[in-house]
Amino acid sequence: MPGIKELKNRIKSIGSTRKITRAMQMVSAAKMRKAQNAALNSRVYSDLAWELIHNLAQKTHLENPLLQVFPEATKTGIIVISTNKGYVGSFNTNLANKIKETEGVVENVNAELFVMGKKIKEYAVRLNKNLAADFPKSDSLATVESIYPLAKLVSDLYKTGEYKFISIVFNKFISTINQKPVARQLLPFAESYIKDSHFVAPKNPPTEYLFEPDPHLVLDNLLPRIIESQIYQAILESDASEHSARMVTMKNATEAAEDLISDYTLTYNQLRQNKITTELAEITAGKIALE
Amino acid sequence: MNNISFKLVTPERTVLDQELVSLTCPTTLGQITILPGHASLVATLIPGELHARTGKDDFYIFVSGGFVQVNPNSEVIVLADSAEHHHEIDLKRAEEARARAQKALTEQKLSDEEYAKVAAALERSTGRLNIKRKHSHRKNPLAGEAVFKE
Repeated sequence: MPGIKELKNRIKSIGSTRKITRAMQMVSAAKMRKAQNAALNSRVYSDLAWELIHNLAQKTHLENPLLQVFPEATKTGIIVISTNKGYVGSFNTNLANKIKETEGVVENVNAELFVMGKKIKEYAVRLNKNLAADFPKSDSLATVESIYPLAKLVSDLYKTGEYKFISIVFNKFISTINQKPVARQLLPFAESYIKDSHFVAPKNPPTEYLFEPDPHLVLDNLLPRIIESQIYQAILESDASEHSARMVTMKNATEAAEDLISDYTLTYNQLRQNKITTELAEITAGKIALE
Repeated sequence: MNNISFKLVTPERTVLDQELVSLTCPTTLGQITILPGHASLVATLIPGELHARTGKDDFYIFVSGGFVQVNPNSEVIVLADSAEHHHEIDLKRAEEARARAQKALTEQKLSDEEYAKVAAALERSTGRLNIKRKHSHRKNPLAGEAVFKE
């Protein structure tokens, strides 16, 4: 049984922890609203872009390095979007499990990781994973320009023909209390290796599109944009998930602190009352002895 | 159902989601007008004015580049980098942006990449200004209906 003074100190220290977690909850809640709006608003764009590219990719006569398929390749690239900071519950653990799952989808391939965010980098280093690139993740709302290097790197690598597929692993935002780790295949467009509801099944018969000015120019412009938009969307989803997860975690922490404080306060009051009773009894006993 | 089902989306928002009778948009090969029943098409857009007609209302929208996609069944989707209705364009800001871009082009030494960026910015702000001036007498066809605001 801790002493009275100890209890008092403990209540005080839990109180200040609660203040901190509450402040973090407020900050996350504000960031969360912003990130959620951004993620939801751009979802339409990225989904339509994704549909378009899958409609186009069925045409075998279209030539573009990014439309090729390399079934013989022995490598696969996995882009992972995580967080820079902790306090997000099982967010990054879920991500790590999803990476493991994605690495094992196709047998006999070497998985290379392209990470974004400190947490998953630490994980990759700890487990001695094959780390191909480490991109910094900005803590504020991501800009489209900031992902150009990553998009260019993976597209260039894919064009070398050494990669069977390139996928992206991130936490998809579903609701404030629900985020789901997902793996999506970015490249190739025409063949699906990952079981993924996001993959658009080819329409039958395929639509013949006209291209203006000509297929090469349009595809050269279009394909990089689509890869960028998918990566960008993944970052926005991950941001929305991160802030939601942190908000919920901090809310739980605040509530737990409140429970602890009320528990300890009760014990403290009991102890105090006991002490008063004992003292009273002693005083009375002393008085009786004197008479 | 002899209308085009039209969607104009940018990474930030859905700008317009409407049934149209025709759509005119600026592509690399010049302006094209899409009517219901158009052949399937994918084309690159350049900065300029997109004119959407519902038969009742006219929308004049500035797009700063992107893609137009015509699907079977008269479904048209524009994936724009950014887009603004003419009544949303802030004249003062657009003028300032153009002045900045012009100044940067004439005064500073720019690398090729920067030059392309500034030139594109100039093209965008000029396009924006032209549309704003041309349609400044018009009202927002959907004024009062909060269609574009979330």
